[in-house]
Amino acid sequence: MNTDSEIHTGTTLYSQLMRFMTAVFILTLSGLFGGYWQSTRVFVERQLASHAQDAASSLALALPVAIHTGDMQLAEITVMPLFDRGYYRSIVVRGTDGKVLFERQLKNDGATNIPKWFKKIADLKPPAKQAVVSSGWRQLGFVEVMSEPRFAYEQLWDSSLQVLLWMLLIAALSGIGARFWLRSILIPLNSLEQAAQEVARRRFHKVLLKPRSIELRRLVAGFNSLVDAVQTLLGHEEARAERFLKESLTDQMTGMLNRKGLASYVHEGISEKSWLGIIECHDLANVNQTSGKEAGNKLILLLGQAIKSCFSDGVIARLSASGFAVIMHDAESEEHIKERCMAFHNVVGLSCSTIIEPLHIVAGWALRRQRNLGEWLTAADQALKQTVKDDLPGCFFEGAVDRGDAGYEVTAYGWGQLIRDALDLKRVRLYTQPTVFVDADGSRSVLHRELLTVLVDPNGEEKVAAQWIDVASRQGLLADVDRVVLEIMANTCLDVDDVVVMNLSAETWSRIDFVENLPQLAVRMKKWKKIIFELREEDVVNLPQPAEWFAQAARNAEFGVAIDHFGVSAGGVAALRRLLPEYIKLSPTLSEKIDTDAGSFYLESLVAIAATLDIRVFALTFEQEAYLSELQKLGIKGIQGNAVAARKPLDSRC
Amino acid sequence: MKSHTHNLVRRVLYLVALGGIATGAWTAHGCLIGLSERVMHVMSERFGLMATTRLKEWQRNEQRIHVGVKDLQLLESVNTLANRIPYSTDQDIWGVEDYWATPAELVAVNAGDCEDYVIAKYFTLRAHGVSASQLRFVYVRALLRGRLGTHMVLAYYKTPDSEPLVLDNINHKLLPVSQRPDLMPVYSFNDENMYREGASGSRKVDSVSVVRRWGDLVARITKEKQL
Repeated sequence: MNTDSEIHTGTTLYSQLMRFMTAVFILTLSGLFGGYWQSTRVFVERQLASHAQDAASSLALALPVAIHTGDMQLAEITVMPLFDRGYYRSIVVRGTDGKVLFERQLKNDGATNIPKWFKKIADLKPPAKQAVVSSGWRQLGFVEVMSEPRFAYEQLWDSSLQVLLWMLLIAALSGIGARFWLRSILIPLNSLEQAAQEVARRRFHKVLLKPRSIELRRLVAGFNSLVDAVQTLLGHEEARAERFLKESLTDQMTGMLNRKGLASYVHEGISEKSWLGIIECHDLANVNQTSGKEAGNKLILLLGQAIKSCFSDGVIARLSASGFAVIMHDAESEEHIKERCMAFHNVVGLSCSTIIEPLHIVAGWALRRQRNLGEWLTAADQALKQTVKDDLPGCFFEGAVDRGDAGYEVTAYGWGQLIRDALDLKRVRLYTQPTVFVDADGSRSVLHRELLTVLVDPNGEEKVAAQWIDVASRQGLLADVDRVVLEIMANTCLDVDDVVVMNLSAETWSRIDFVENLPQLAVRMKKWKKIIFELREEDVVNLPQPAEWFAQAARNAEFGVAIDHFGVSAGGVAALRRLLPEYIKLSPTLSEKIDTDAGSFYLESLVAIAATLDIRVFALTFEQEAYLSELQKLGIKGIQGNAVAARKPLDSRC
Repeated sequence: MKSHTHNLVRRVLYLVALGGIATGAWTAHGCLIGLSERVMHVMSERFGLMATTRLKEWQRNEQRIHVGVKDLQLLESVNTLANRIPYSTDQDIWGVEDYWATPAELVAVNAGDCEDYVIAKYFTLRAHGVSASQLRFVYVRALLRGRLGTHMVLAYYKTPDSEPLVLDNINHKLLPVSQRPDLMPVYSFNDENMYREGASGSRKVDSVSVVRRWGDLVARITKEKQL
């Protein structure tokens, strides 16, 4: 904060330059005006002197007769025409002994528009000039003439005003000119400043302007090369992270997904009508023993190729040494799969005949239903064991009698109805679970609390999100869930002092009207200290532009933005650079790989990139305390999950 | 002496025009006494090696005039000293119609016209303590070789209303004006009527001179003194 305040205090370069130029201009104009004023003043004084001397000399030539004869009336007649013109303050005629013979003084009537202060500054000395009145060689006396400076003051005042007005006009025009000139010069600097501020917000943009001045051009070039260097560095980090991600999700030998890859795929939401098949070859150990590991590897590769060719439209993963999983989507019928299995047996029998014959391959298939991956795999595995137990050839399908297609339809419909009813009747309860900061010395503090939405069925039984979230997603109900949760939050009567995190679905945040109404939403949420919206990584990757718009608008409305389930989608790191979330929560599937080299490298790489962008990294739903120290070694200190703190109901009663 | 064809009145009015700077009191050490070696050098460069000899001779002669000597003697001495220099027209000496030479230039070039004599006499007398109010430069009409011409002499007034004595380069005798019927005064001036009224009624030397050439002359004399 101190640094920020230091940056924002002080004056801008523009105002400094403007002040300096104004000061120089004022000094220059003042100097010019002073010089002009002084020279005009001297000129006027000389004019007065010259004027007085001319009058004295003329009178000296005209007065000898009057003085010689002592005729003061004649002297008066000679002097008065000149005196009455009003340009002389006094005309005095003296004898050779200095005695005044005749005198005329102008009475100061004060009728002038010249301010007194101006007269005081100008301080024109009324010059007195003398000429000798002589008759032949004889000196008869002197005539002294003093000019009246009133007209000189008027002239000086008028010309000063005119010059001052001209100078003000020039100053105004120059000021406007300087303003435009400075602005045009400083445009590149402003761009640089904005780009530098963007850098402070971890956004690295080049400055595209080409300034005319060499120094600014160098500055822009230097800045751009720095941005290039940083972007290259971030690009490398991103590529490295993506590579680690790929490595951690794929099987090195076959290039297929591994178990974790399969898990991340299932996380994205698979239809309940999808089939999962486990295909196992029981001959690998035999081949390794009899023909060596190389032949065993070849067998694995051939198996993989055969599976790829026969189940080309399915998602394939290698689960164990010679065990594979295939997910076929809901368009597939049981008969169709059987046909494919037969084809597979033929293909694989043929291709592997050079290694071993006969080949013992079994497959067990199970429907997804409402199961998570573990349960689904268990079901398929049980089908597989049934195959082995019954020594059935080819493949076997899990509990065909129990399953029944109609039953499934009823269940899915039932869930959809349950969700709609719960939302309509506001049978929604909010729980919170904290993300806890675990320090190196083991001390813990709450960073924020995540809202967990629980629906209540007509029997009063609570249904957690894991149970209904997939159905809600497929039936387009997530936006309604968000709406109801936001309403509950807006209507809460308690001031909430904790920072609260809400999961927001892409259906909500990608809507333009929602983004536009964020400021109003912020007003309605004033009872909450701060709300952070968590977006899923896969949504953010799939909708990059709307995500960026939303993040910008949310920050402007003083909401926080974060990404959860991070680290399983390609392009996640690129999304980090675009969105710059407050933090990321790692996907729980990453935890499974923390004890493997590829997994920990990947996590390390993610943490490094996040640190570069000033983004905190938290871990999600790690159920085992044992992982904590591993996570801390990687620099992940914020953890959310039952292992560190259980969920509890949010008290928002009015 | 030179002759002018201009109308005399026009000439007078012309001379009333503004000039350069005026000067105050002159040094009591003498008009050309104390001239620096540098001035001597400059004069010898301008007018030949004889210039230095002439200036030094003038300095010797001027030193013989004791300060405090009676007025008449002083006037005689200065009049005679200056009148030793041969007459020549400005056209012949300087190549211009009218030029007011400084005393140093007059002595160094060893030639001058009526104004140059008057100037040298005026500054020498001032240097020997004669008041400016007693001295006046007088433009006169003079009978020169049977016809009227314009001429300048220096008039000395013992008191303001006394009869002046004339220091002239044509008639070298120091005579009162009553004995100079050949001269008819037209216009006179000195540098004492150039003052201005100060804030407290005090009088200061003014920068506006009564005669145009006067300012120029004073400036050149000042420059010589600063060399």
